Amino acid sequence: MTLLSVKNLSVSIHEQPIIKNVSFNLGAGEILALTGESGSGKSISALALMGLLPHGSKKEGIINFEGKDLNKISESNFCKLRGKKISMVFQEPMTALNPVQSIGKQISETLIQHKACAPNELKDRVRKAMDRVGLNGIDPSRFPHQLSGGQRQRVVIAMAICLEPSILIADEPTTALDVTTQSKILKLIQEFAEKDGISIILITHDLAIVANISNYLLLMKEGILVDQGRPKKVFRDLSHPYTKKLFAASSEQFSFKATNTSKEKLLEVRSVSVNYMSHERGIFSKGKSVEAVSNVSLNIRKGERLGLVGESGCGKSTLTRTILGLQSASSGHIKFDGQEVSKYANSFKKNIQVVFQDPYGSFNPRQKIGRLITEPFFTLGRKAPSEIEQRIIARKMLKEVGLSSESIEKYIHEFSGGQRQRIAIARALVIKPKLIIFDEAVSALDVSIRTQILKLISNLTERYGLSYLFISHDLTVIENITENCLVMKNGKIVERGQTKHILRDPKNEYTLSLINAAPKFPKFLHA
Amino acid sequence: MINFFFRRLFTFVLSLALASFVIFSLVEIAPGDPASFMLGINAQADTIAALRSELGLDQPKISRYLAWISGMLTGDFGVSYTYRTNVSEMVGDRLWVSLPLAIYALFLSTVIALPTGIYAAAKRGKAGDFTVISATQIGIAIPNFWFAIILVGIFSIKLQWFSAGGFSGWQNGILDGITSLTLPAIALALPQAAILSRIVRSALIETLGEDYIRTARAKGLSSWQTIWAHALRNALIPVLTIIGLQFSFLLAGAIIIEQVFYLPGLGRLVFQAITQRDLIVVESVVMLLVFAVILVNFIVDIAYMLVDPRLRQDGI
Repeated sequence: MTLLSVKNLSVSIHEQPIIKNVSFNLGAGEILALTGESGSGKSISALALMGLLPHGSKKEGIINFEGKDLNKISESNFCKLRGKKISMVFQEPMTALNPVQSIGKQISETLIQHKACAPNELKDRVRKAMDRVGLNGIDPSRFPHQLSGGQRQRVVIAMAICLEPSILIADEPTTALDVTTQSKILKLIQEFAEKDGISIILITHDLAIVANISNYLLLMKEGILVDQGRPKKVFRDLSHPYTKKLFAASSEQFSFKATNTSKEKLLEVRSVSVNYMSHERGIFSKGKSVEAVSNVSLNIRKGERLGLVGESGCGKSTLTRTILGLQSASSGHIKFDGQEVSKYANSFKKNIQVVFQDPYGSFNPRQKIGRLITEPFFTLGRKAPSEIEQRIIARKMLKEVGLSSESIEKYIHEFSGGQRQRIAIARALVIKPKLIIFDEAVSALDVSIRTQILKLISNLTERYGLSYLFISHDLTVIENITENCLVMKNGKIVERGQTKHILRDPKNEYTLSLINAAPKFPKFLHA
Repeated sequence: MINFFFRRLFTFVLSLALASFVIFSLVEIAPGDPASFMLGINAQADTIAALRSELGLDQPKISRYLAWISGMLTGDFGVSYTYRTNVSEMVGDRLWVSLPLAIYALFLSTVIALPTGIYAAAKRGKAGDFTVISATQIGIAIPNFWFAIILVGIFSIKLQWFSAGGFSGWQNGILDGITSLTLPAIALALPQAAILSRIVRSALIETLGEDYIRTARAKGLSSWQTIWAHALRNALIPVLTIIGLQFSFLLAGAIIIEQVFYLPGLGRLVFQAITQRDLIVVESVVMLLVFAVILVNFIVDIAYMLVDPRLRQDGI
């Protein structure tokens, strides 16, 4: 039975067309996956269904729901549908809740708004909704900042399902979460469809999730629906070239040449612990100390490519900062090329460079690319090459990372996310470092671009004989790009060894849970 | 939460101690000897010396500082060099004018600014927003004494609703006192309201762009409901900051308005004391104003905590 039928939906924002002639049907209890890369119009489609498009947007077409065209009903009538018949869960659980209201109050708001129950039943209904989403034992009087990301997302889901809507739209509900939390949330969403008969529109960029849990998929590209069908059939046939390209990028295993790893140690981390002072303290008493990194030892040999896996909050970033000398270790030693980290001279810093996760936030928007790339030369002081030489090197580096040498005169906003990450790599390479730390360097990128960047990293390091430490929460990335890896949990290294062995035959329970939780394409698709 | 309170209290006391020291030092550095100023240019050197010792000016600086501080703590602000009366009495009288005026003006400013700011934010980009922005632009650009003159022209001279100046005191009833403060309060409040209205508007617009606003809309709340239930309280922090700053300004900065309306307020007292080198009065009034500013900031800090539960957690 068709519950929602969308015909020729087009949306433009400030006269700029965003989605064009999208049509689809949603059946009762169905999980419809809406997928595509960033900027393809997935989220705008969802907001159009909710009637919550941003200011200055215009929509055309028909959205038929329970015999009414949602494009024609009044705003006050739409308010009666939202939260009751059609509800929505958003991507960013950290900001989706009002920080100054308790979670119980925010959940009860949906019930009050739609006059769903008598005031004296409110408490029970909130408790029931919270239990339903797995928040058993959590006090409704708590505030959002006292919960983890996964718990907050459950609160958002509780608000969305407490009135048992017909349709639940989930916009990248797990993208900001750790893999283990992700698999639990996805299971919950699947349950709503199977047990409660709620129809789900699941927006995700992750094709493995699509293949695993959806009944039907819509693939969008630049606002147009390019492919659709049952996921099994779509992924087997791969009839559309774009589907083929995305699928290839998501499931690609590229092998990289083993390089000569010498015995010589480049970086030596010996039983390093890093403590933080917790903020919870009295006026005169000292705070409790929290161990972010606990007794960690690791070596990186010359030419070695090491991976570091762990979920958010496991201490990866603190460890990186300590290696870079941006933070001092509470105990233990770090030696780089035989020299204590705490005694890094400025000119020595050039030997380690970093590429960060966020390609948007890690550049000064008011400087030209030429200036941005040659920034590391400042650490050299007087030993830096002349400005003309620097520009020649910058141009060469841009070509190396696959950009035109004319880019040197442009500003960072003129580039896409993938191009920005190329620029970040050029910036790291320009000073010929011995070690590069990639801190979640591809996590913010779309799959097809991610593969390009990983290939680039692999090629360049081979050519320059570089060593790197690749930090990621994504096991497939680590698998593709490192020989050895470490698994980190709560500040400790819980498993280490060859990447292939660890992924195939993990000895540690935590590693196993990470591997199991990561979305993978069902077996039949690989055949 | 209690920790937060005590830590703020500690900063409060520390700021006061520092401020008293700075005020005392600055007044010491300032040129001009009160004794020779009081006696005129033709005074004999020994007469000046005698007066200096009578005023206690020949004591070492440290002991004068300590005497000043301990006096203030017990409510004894010393004796004015020029008027030979108790400073605490002088200041007390003036405070009964300045404090109600500041509170009155702040009340008016908030009452005008909140609705206009909220309205403009809700209608952003539309005609209503444009009207509010233009009005606040004018409010900010025009100095308050000019408003004062216009108000006197209309309400005192033309309509004769209010007196053009002076303060009849509180002894004839509260209403009488309030009436004589109304025009000065309006003149003080209008420019402040214009600034505050803009702050309310921009804070609210920023908050309306937050993700949780979209979540609230997805629950079925209308856009006005979203503003009342979610946006307003979150937008309040910058607004409270400005209200705190405005109160301090209104208390101490009303000097021009006090002149225009001939009000016996604190501003005029300081002004007179400075021109007459009545250092003890200057010190005391400035200290009092600093106390008021720090107290208001302390209250604003506590208000933040009530508004935002994240701040109630110890440590932030």
